[in-house]
Amino acid sequence: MTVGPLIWIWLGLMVIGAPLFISMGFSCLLYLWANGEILLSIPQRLTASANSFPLLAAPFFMLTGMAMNTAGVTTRIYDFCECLAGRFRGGLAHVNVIGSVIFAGMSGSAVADAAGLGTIEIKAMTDEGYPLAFSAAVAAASATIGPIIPPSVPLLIYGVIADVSIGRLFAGGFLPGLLMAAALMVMIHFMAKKRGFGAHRPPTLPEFVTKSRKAFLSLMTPVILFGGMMIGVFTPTEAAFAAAGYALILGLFVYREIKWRELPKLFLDTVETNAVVLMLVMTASLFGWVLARAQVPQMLGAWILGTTRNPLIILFMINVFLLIVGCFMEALAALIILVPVFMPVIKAVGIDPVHFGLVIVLNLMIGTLTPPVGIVLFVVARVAKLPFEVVTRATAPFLVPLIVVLLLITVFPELVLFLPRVIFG
Amino acid sequence: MSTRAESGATSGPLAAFGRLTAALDLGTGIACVVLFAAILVVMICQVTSRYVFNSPLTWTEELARYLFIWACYLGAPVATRRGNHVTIVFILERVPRSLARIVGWGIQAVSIIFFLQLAVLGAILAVRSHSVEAITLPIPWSLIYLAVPVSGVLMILQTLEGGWTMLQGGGEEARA
Repeated sequence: MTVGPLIWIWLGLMVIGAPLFISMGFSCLLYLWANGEILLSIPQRLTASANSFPLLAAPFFMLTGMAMNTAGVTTRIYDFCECLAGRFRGGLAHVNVIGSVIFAGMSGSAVADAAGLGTIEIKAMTDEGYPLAFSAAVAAASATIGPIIPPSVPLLIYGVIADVSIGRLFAGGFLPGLLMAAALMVMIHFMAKKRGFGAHRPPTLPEFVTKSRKAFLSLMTPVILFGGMMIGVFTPTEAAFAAAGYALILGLFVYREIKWRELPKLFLDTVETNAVVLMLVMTASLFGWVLARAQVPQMLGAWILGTTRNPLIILFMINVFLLIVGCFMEALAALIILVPVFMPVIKAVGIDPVHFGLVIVLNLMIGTLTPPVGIVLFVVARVAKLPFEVVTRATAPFLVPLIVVLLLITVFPELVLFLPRVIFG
Repeated sequence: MSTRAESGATSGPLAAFGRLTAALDLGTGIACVVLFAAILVVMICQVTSRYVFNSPLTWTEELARYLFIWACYLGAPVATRRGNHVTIVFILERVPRSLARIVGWGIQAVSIIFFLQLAVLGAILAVRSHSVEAITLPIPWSLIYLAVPVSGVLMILQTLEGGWTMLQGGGEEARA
């Protein structure tokens, strides 16, 4: 059996609705079996890819996000942002974006942002008379900032596969994430003008002070997360653990909105969410390993390098390819399978792996907003109780600013690499 | 630990199987919570020993990794029962119900073959690695690989019980 059938069986199973990790695992099983290889490598490879201390940061990021949503922190952040941006035209849409930026500093997943903050945002905007589809679209588009501004589960996984410093990757995400927010807000500004959306009155000083104070302790989470990591004291896993601990302490003792008896459910949800992601990581690594044994990265690399050696053209080619792939594939699985495939070429032409990490993750996050496989669209459609197609169409205009940012960071690596260099030298 | 509506029969082998998988799901759930709590305790030991007492413990990182592996393998059957594994239902939701039903059975069959292989291969690997010791802990790798067959068997049972739910929504949930 060659690689061709392997890929067709995998795609076929995926498209007809087999769980993604089974479609990857089963096609690898068939391939290895048909080629008479030792099948014991399957459980061995699966376990080996989970046997990683950095990956242990993932469940802590997830726990932080869930604890924040349970503890009413999300509402506090929202109120604070409303104070900051409510006064502008189309104010609540701007609030939505700024809220996502702040929430992105605590949670590493676009889905957590869409499901948690998105729910509050969509409700608030609808109560104010914004069209439901528009509110859903803003919530969906801004949720993609979550995994760009650190912490980030996709960047963490990229760092583990590509063997790149996770601290540097996280530092590299700040500027692109802020750029995404700015680009979305420019878009919102024009749409609000055209559609004549209103604004809130500016908050009074006492209001501002109260709401800032209420949000202050939650706003400290990113500080705890990055403080230790940036000065090089904590490993990313320890920093993630500290942030999760802080979020739990806030919820249990300070805000008292998480009850002790809710703790087991919170833990179980964390382990389950983590298992869903890790099953993808494990089977996708197995898949990548099979591709590597079949020399696919080498062949692809030779083909690309035979066409051009210009780093910029190669990045453009990869970007176009990924935008298409992102429509049809789940982001994490695409990341895990494709990073090892592209890595030899990236290294051969001297592209900084931190730069490439941000490009590929931002690209695949745009893919979560494109049909037919757009996970953020699905979540937001469910939260807003709108048909998938309606949310898809309403979100489409926001792809423009996001793709512009993708182009910017592709062409100007300094946008990504400046901060890591300043912080880590 | 989701509760599922009774699938018709209240007695007989089908109901007994339903009770068995529900009990297994509860047990798996409890094990997941205990594992995660254990990971938290190990991490507290690691952080305090390193930053408070300035004499880092050698075994915490390895133990945390092994607990993490077990948590991954045991969380998977919980997600299987809840129908929460990342699944692309775009096409399945747009074909006639009768066709979707047939495809659903096919997917269940493929899943069970994969889990069965996982269980058998994992068991062989666990037996063979009884003499491979962990680095800082006095335990054999068999204990770690044991998670593979346990997870495989649990996922087979939960797929048999509730594989159908993936067709009834909630399947496309994912964490990008």
